[in-house]
Amino acid sequence: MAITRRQFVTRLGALAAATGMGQADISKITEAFAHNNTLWATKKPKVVWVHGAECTGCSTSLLGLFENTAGLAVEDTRLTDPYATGGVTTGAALALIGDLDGYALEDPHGHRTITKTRAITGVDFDGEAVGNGGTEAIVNIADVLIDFIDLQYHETVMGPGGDLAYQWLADNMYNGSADPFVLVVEGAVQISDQTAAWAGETSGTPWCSVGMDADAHNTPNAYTGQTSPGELPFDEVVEMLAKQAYGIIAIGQCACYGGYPAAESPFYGDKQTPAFGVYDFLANSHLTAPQKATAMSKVVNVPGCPTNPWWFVLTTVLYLVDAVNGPLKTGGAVAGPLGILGADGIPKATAIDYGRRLKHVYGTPVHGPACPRYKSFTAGDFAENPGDDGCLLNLGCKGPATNSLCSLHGWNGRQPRNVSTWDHNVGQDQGVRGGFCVSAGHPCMGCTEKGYPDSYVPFVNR
Amino acid sequence: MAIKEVDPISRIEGHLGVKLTVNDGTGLVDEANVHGNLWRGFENFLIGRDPNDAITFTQRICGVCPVPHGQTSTFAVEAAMGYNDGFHTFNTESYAVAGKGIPKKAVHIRNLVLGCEFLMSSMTHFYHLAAPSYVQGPNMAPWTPYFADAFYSPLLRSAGHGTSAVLPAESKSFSTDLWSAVIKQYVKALRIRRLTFEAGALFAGRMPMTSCFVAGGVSFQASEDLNVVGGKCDKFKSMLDEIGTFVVREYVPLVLALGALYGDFDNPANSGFNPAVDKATMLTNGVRVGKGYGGGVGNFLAWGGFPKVGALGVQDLTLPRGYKHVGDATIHPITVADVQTNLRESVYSSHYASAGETGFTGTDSEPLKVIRTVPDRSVGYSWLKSPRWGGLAMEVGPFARLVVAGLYPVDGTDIAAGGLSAYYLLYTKNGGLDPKMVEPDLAVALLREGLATLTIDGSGTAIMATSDTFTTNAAASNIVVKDHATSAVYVLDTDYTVAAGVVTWINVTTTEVDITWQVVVTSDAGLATANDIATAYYGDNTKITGIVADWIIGLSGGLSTMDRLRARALESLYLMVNMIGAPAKVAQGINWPGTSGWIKDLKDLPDGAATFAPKDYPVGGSTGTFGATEAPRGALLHTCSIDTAGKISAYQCVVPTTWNASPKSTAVATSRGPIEQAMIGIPYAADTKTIRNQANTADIVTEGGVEALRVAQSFDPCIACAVH
Repeated sequence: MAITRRQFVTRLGALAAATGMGQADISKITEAFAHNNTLWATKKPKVVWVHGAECTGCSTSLLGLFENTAGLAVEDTRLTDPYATGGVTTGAALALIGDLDGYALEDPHGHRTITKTRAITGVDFDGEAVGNGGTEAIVNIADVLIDFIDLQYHETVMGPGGDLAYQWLADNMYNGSADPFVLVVEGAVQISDQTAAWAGETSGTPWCSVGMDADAHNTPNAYTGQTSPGELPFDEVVEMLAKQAYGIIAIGQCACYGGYPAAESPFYGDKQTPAFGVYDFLANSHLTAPQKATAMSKVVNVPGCPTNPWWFVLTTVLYLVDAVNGPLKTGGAVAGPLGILGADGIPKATAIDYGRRLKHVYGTPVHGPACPRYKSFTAGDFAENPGDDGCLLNLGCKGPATNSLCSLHGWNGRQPRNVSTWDHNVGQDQGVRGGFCVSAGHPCMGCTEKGYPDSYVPFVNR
Repeated sequence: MAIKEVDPISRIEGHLGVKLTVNDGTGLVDEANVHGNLWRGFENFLIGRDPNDAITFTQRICGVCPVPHGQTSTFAVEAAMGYNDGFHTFNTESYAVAGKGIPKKAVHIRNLVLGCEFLMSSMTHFYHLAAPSYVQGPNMAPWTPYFADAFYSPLLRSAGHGTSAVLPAESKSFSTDLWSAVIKQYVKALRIRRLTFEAGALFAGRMPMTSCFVAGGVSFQASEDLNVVGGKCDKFKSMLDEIGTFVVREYVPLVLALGALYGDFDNPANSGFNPAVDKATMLTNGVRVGKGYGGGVGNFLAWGGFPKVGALGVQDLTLPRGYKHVGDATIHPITVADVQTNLRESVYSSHYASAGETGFTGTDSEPLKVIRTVPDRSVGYSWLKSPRWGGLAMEVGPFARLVVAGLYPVDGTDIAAGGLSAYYLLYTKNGGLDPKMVEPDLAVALLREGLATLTIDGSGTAIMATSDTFTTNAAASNIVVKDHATSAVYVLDTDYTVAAGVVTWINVTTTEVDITWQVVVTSDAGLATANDIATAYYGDNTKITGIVADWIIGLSGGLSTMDRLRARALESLYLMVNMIGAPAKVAQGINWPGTSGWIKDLKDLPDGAATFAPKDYPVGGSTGTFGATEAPRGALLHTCSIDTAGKISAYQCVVPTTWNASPKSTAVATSRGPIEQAMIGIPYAADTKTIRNQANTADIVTEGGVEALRVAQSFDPCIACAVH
């Protein structure tokens, strides 16, 4: 059932278009993926995914990656409101999955074969004409795992466990990885030799540890020579791997900015553990100054609580394409085609925002015409209680201060049309996007923003 | 005595390891210290916050099961606010006390969203977390390196399927062997689990991390018309139909069959295969039947969950509340007073201080009175606390729920004679398995492995077997169908074309991932009366027999790793029926008429019915109340105290895996937690696996510990939950 690369790329390209990315850049994705010239022609990129102070919500979310791949670019000139579009201009492709005319064609499950689709732009992202027929394939996380990345370590899905897993990780940490790899960090990093609220000691059991040698109690550690049984502290894992990684992607609010583990009790006014996002952790790590600078410069954040699977895939792909086609490519430093990485291999300030998020992915406010309750906002109609009609601003909606694709693209597949809730000034689009907090009547909580959760509470004013 | 660490225990949520003491003589585990390896401090940083925010915060305790945390937190906050009297919140219309409860619509939506979470969690657990410890995945990362081959049944190894990085093709072809069928289900389950997310997100906005729960109801828009054709209720139902069919025909049969290949991990009542009829391939792996590995403490506890809507009392739950002690058939009810009396937590083996203003008093703190949790990294061996019920370690989870509900026997009696018989017996027909209840792809794989036989003439004669004689050009590996009524023989080659030119098997409706039995009858060979084999397959006289069928039909309930996996699958079936009504057998399998179930009840509510009942935070605060319900992994309790300013003054969570993976609660070794106890007596197999180091300069010999992984994974541990 594996989808073709072209189908995968088409889907990605459609989503990229939704972010306002220009056609020229989108076509670069195709160059890297769809043709046999670069990244996937010889070897899939190796990915090492480690979990720290986390809840596995982002992995759980990513495992749900599964959508139609047709990703037809639907021409839509209605989304011209500058509040909403973050760069999507009149006539630009708005990637919404489905066929605006063909609701009757929609499979009730929203993920089955659609035999008739309509290509608006006339060409897809590698410049080839898109026919008016054809069927969609389905992208599934299994396709990503099998065809696009070489996921060497991920505690939640990998086959190995126990000593087998520990030895693999420790070998990569202490002896170095033969292949270049991308490090993905899920969860905050807690510094083992720092104290927390009420705890005086700076040593002892790590706040988070991720493995032990089977013979830890019997023989000195083969990698570190330590004689006492020792857990593998997560902060050491990140330090050792970050030194080697050619890219570091922090997935989720916790890995990006510390998130919940770094939250402070309003009553006691202190963090419970010394928890940091990856970027801030590296600044506080035991690495040397040059190591710190290099590692920190390679961090790209993909926040969310959890992170939407497509935000992660899109960010990762853009970053990898740039890394492989551009300055990090063996044999020469040329400007990355997407312009995310500068000639020095470091993400450019024009491509990432203040939170080290790709502007392409996080450039759209949740609040705007794409929000199902935007019409209520413009009409001055505000909800008083949960369950009420009306804009949720007075209930505590953080949409105006939050940037994500939630209202534009949504979550968990397409939701059905419903005249009572999706009646806004892009009315015909209702039913072609997924849900998000506001579609359940809940105020946006700001989970993609630095400072969440502490700066974004209370979530519901009541 | 050898001391061994198995850490990380992978394919669970979070960071868990176990220190095993292995007996040099027997090679079996004598002692186990299970340790959780992460602490974040959720209970503490909730102090001082708006109570309603706890509903969002506590969902971030765990991204695998956020919904139950959100719901339990909602109950806890509602208890503090006076919506209920502890445990659950029922609907206003039926609740006996005025001023309490929430609208019916909110109860239904909460139940449906939580139900979706249960289904997601159970299927994810079996296919994507537990199964790779029994089945080698595709021969590539992240499923490799495998453990030593000896750990896997020969039928579930990837050898012979090529070393190229491929999954079995999802195509027209049926699986040629059991491994392929299982891996196909693994991939399909990825899609099904996503459907559970999509279904839940219709009412919850998104999943994981829902955003629909608020104290007093749900935030879902009351005015939304749920009756509209093609609206959210209809879409929910259609998705649940597909999920349900997967549960019935793939998930449940596969789980029930698994014990046949891993008898060691089943209970002693499930022994006694006749070696003469056992497959040689099974014997070479050793049919070590019924050793009961992973039995555990045998004490079960459930707070109960899924409040019913209607005229009812506070105990009226879809999954009942109660507890049971090992060796005692009595199932005891639980009252609020019982919780106050019996629920204690120990920090004896934990990395926490137990003095001062924490409220912890060593081995028997009262969670309902604890003020905060203070870390002490110099003591203990685990970040988990040790909850105890009347001083005893209790197992919680789907297994416990079914036992407490009287739906699953643990005394060695037949499951078919137990409380789930109405559902379990749907699988039986004519003394065998009913093909309508088993996905054809799995059935074909079992047939091809010789683990099952298909009988379609009702005469008791096996008519689909490779040993049948025939005169056509079939290879030995092909499936042969012989209709004893007409003596016609059909040979199905790999493309499922009958070589005799009578019947062509194709899948004209195949999608990318579905396999559909469809038969096109051709008459150009002159046999105008050719059978419609599909009709025959599903027909009245059909049955699947053979050793796997016998195993499934004859299963007994007891204490073991496999019982835990089976209970989880059977609970999914039970929940499906509660959500969308019972399945009906139809000509070509099953469907879901939807004549009952929560989704129908929701749809039948009047348009515009309220979803929220407002109430203010209590003037003067509130302490000592709690909310408790069931998470996929078991009994979940939150207790929330509110100060006079309307802020949280104390918050404690007693979480399913905290029960199951708890360390010892006292200095006595027998105060082990359930997973620790389940480790006692299992082997620590010497089979090692050699991997090449990254620099390609040397080999690394790694140790097994697979048995410990399997036992731990059967509890579906969630350490982010357990420690929080």
